[in-house]
Amino acid sequence: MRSDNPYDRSDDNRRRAYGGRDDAPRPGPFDERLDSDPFEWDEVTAPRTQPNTPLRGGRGHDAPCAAAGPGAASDVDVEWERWLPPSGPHGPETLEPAAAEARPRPPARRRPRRGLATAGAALAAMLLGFFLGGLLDADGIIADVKGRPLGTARSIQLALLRPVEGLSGALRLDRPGAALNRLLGRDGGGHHSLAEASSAQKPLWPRAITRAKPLRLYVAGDSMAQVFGSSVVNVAEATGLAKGKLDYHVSSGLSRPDYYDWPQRLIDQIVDYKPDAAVMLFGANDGQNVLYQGRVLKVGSKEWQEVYAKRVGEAMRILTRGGRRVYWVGNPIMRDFGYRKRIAMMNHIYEAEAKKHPGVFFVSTWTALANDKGAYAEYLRDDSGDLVLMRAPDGIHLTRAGGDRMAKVVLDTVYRDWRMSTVASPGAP
Amino acid sequence: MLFPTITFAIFFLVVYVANWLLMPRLRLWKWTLIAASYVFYGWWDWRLVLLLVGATLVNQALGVQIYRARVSPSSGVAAKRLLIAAVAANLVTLGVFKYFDFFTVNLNDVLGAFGLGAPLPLLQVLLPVGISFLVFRMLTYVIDIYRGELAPAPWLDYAVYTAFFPYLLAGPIARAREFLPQLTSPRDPRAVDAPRAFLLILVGLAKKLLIADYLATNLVNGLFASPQQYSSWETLWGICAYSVQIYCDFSAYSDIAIGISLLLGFELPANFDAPYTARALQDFWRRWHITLSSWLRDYLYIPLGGNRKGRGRTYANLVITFLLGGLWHGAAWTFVLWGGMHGVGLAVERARSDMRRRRGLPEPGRTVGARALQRAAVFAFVSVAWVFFRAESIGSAFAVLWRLVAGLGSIGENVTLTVAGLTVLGVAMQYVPRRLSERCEAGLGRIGWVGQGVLLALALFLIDTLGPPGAAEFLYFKF
Repeated sequence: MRSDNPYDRSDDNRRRAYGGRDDAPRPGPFDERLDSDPFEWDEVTAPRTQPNTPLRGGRGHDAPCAAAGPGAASDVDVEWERWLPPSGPHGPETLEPAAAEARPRPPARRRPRRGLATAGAALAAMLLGFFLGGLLDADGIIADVKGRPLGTARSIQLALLRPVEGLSGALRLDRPGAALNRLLGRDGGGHHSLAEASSAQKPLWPRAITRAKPLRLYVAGDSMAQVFGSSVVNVAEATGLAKGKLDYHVSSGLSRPDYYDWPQRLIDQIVDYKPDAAVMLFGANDGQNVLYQGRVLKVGSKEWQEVYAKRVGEAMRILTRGGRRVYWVGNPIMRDFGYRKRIAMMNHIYEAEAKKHPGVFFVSTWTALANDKGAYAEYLRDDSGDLVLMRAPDGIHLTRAGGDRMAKVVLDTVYRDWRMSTVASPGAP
Repeated sequence: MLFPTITFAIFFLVVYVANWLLMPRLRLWKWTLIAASYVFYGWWDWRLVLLLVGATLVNQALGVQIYRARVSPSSGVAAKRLLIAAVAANLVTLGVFKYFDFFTVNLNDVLGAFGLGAPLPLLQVLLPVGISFLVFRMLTYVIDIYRGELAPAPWLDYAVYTAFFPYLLAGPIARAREFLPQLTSPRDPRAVDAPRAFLLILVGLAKKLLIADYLATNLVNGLFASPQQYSSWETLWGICAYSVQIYCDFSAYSDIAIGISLLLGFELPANFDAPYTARALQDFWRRWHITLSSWLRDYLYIPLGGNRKGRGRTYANLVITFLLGGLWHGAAWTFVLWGGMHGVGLAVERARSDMRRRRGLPEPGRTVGARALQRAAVFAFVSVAWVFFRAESIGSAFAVLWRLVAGLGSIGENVTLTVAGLTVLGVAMQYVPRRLSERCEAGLGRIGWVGQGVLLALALFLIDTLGPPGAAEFLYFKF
């Protein structure tokens, strides 16, 4: 049976387009059956009518069509008359009376099936699903909301979720989730202590770096560290004198330990991986209000800066235990003006804290990714003079070339500090 | 706004209620759909809405003019000129946002190599999410009007078609003649295909959050960032895992888009059909991103001459089509190479098929073992090609492939039981017969709204608890 829809070029095509949910031949391009007959291709693809000939259809109709031009109305209107929904049937009582009269009867369903629902029943199923699912997963949802930036929206969401959490607990519907998390080892156990992190017998620095005993480098941070960190690992490992481990967590930072506990993570990694040196890159998500002793501190305020500096200092203290060297990397210049200002402010805090902690070096990469005029640029020239894309479309993250450029700046400091002069760039400071 | 978020769930519930309440009042209903779609798109960046409005106005105006010129007795040439203008306007839009800097940088390199001229300026503009999908939809509209296969739609309908939020960001690429008829009259609110919609959405969420994101985080991202840290064994699994990741990620978006469209009373074309069960590359492209490959066939391959101008031209047309299809995915040589590999692969496959036909030889794959080998060969070819698709540069792709031989000696610890299991599952699920999912749909339909609600709750709870915290963007957003 041929379709009444003028926009279906053939029944075969229509079935192909809908993935063969009926018993049509397998859909898709480069079809063998069609390919075997070039005329079939023409039939399927060539214009059915030449320019200046009317579209299919015959008699005129007064259905609406904004596009109908002078002398063309009847043809266009016929097309509109035949535009029928592919997934009827549409009960006449659902139509506006006048429109119902004007429209032709809808075609039979492609394949009548049992189990169709009313819109209300589908809505009820969704609401029940969300409500019950919310009760079962109340803890997970609240944990997710708690991780959002502090502010009115978060407070409202938490206030709305509290009763759900209470009901979930009262009905003991929070137990399956807790059991599942225990089963998956996500119940927060198995951490190391700070005392374990400082149990090294002899100082880690200085020592000779050789291929037999390479420098163990731990690179950590937020999403900025994803590309930058792998560049550090790749470039350092290419020398044969270093082994690297990258540890990044997107959307994390130091300003919100309630969302991601970086201090604990650093302790665990130091104990497990036993690095000689650490490269840290934080700040991309830290420009937000922080919760401190029950108060919300506004980002950029004096108190905020003091609290943030304290958290940065704590991370530095953990990392330098046992004489470990730490290279704290400042973020590069960013595209957005307001964001750039916050990043610059945090870079100043890192620099100031690094000066207070022996064994910590602040490495600025601000200008490494700026153009000749000191401004933000997506493209910069590489060593061979070619323009290369350095930044991701968001104006924050890095491309591989950008990561490599930043890594080179940081690793020059590392090599110099560890007296690895054979692999340092010529002319490195 | 990402599909697997609470924000989207709330947004969708509001749109769902408004959709069914306002549907009998067609004009208001369409305005509501447009407003909802603009909110959805503007959630990324409000400036993107201007692009959407601009694309709607320009294409509709040109579409109407093409139609008028077409039906006028003496202006066939004018219709063609208008079509060229419309196609050029869309391609220029795509070019400015997506390809300008890429081609300028490469041109600068070429000019620089010959010591010619000063560097050309770069635009460095924001890349609108989903712009390639938008341009493809716009092109089908104006070309189909020119071909006489479509009449211009009313402005309001066309604005809905342009912006309909379920497919706005990453397809399926619904064609105007498939979608516009669905706007002419209200659906029957007693016949919502909710069982199929729920199943599609849940399967999509599970594929995205439980398989794709897990494999990306636990093996694929690391392998492609620092291949030297991975053994041959891990590299092999990592390459297979990426094949599974990209399928589970992209098909998940399509499933969810089709599912939420069904709930709103719209039917979108299928986009995937068990692609890793393909026994030939041609078969693969019938099953992978179906709406893109059929678009390329109808609007590129056949206008180039298809298979109607001799064998040599057919092979060349295949390669050209896939080179451009590769470039459509992104402004990088890796995508061009990926497309080229598929184009050459299809041409070689076709040449072999032609040769067998000429010699009267039977088609291969007559035994179960031979068919299994064919499937394995196609999967291997496609997976190797995906390495170029995923890698940041051609050099990085070769660095990954090199690890297949350079990393012998140790097994490594990155291929955990979960990673291996999910990779196998991602391929095995494609061999599940279609009738099983139809039975699931039928079963879901029989249990009524209470049963469906309970099942939805359990599934959402399991997906959220077992999945990673937060949802990563879908891979195809950037295309």
